[in-house]
Amino acid sequence: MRLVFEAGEEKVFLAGKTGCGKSTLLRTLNGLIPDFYGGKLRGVVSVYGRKGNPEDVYLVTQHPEEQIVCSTVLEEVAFSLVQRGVEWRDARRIAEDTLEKVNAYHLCERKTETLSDGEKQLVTVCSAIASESRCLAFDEPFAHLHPDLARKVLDILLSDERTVVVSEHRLGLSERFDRVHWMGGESAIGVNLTKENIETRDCLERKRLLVRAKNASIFRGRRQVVEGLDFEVFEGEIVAVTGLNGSGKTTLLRAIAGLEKSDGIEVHGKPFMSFQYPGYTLNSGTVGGEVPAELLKTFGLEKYADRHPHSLSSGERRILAALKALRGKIVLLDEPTAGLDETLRIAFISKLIRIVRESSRCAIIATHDSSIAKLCDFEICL
Amino acid sequence: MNFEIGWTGGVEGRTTVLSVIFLTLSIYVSSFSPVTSAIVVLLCVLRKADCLNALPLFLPFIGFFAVSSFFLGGLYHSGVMTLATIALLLSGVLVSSLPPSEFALSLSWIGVPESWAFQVALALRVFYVLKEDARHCFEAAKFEGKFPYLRAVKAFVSVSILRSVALAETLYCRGYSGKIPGVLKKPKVADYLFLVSSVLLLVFSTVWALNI
Repeated sequence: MRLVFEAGEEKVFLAGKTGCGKSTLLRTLNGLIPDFYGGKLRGVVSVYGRKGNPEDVYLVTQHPEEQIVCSTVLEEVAFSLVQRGVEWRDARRIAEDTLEKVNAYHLCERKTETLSDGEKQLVTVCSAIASESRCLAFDEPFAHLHPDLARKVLDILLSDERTVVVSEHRLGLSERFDRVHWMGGESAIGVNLTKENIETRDCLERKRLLVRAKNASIFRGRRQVVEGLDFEVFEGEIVAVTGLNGSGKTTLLRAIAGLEKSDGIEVHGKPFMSFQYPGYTLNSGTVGGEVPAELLKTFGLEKYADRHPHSLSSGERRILAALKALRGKIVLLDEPTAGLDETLRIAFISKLIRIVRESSRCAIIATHDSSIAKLCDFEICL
Repeated sequence: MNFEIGWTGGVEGRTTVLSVIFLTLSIYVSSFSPVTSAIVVLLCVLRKADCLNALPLFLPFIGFFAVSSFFLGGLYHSGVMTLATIALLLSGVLVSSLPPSEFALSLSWIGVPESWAFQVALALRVFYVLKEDARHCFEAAKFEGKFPYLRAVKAFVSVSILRSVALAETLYCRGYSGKIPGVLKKPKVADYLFLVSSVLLLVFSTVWALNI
């Protein structure tokens, strides 16, 4: 592979299928590979005339929760500057200016543990902008963001005067970049799948009500998050839950699963929830112990049956956790397709929908992905 | 029961850390005297009533000490040891009212190497993440029929290992060099008063112990 990023203001969008090596490339640019993780590097990776290093390339990885090391937002944004020897007074000023620039100054004194996922992502982006690195690299920075918030973050990145490299699966965001670099060959894009052409055997004679919300209120702790919610979900139905970050999508799933307090929600059947972070759901010693062999085969994961679930890639773990939720009558999936490429995403979700319909279950999917929402029977917009 | 330990940032770091050291020493020097323990409890409550919120967290620990010291020395001994345990816990919990960076900077100020002090602050930050991870692992295990506790623990161990690797990766990516972001606050009158009280208590406890 030969790939050149121009120093200066070039903005590059890295596209490619899940597992094609986008994250590996970004980790090579900042020296994580081979300096931190080891491995063999053939050929030359030259970053401003030196080998890959974290001083020149600031990398933001996918999970903002794992990126935050300080307890307040201001300290977090100033962290990299302080590590480079910038005096606290100057680092603080730069951090405040950066937060102001992205209209996030109000977060300055907030404790990082109290931030929502979207706010955490925004803070990690601010930390990158405030750093003195000459190149900013982002590994799927929009995976957990609502499209509106993703566009806002993108505006911030594109207005920066440094080289910006973004690896991302949402191809719709690539138009505003100077260049799109496809890794592993250009993928089949624009998969034209609609809910009508997902073939299922109609084996349901009589549909039974599984979930009903009637003027429902949902609470997170003592705080009311959602009110006046009305919907009914029957056997064989697939429902998308959409809304901005922090609007209560996850809380709704948790309420149906019985993990949060709610009024006005009836559940008739065993719920099983797959969390946004798949590690919580995966607790067996092998992949085969998590999901029946037949199901693994359907989704092409049978070759991993003897491996430890946590040894799989992030996308594969996410799929596995979603498949595990099929143990329940009411399948609750929180962002099951985040971080999957378009082809894999559609293939996975269409198979899942088929299984849910044919087995008299129902599925409620919290997602930011409009292409997934379109495949569902109806959408609950919070 | 709903209780939280969380820093509010209302107190100054250096005086608090020194006071905690002096109060703890006072209890040990006075051989767990109930008078000293009672004064420590009173000072802690006056200084930071929030630390009482954390006391329910330690109830099993306090109960264990109360019962074991009853069998070792009777009712009076049990009362004295329980009071001393509460006093030690409360003085320790005072530290939790400090922002982690303030605590780390204070440790660094009293001579702890900066990189070690930062790791303490980092541990306090990660404590929150792991607490949430543990909660989610236990919630996820509830959906499974057999041995949910064992399954939750297995998931939590795996998640903790992944989190620690991710954290190490983050520190590398962000050019970690052991420096602590932030600056120490200036002590207020209340901070000085608390420090002086704890020094006086240590002096009196020492004199009292020497006289005995």
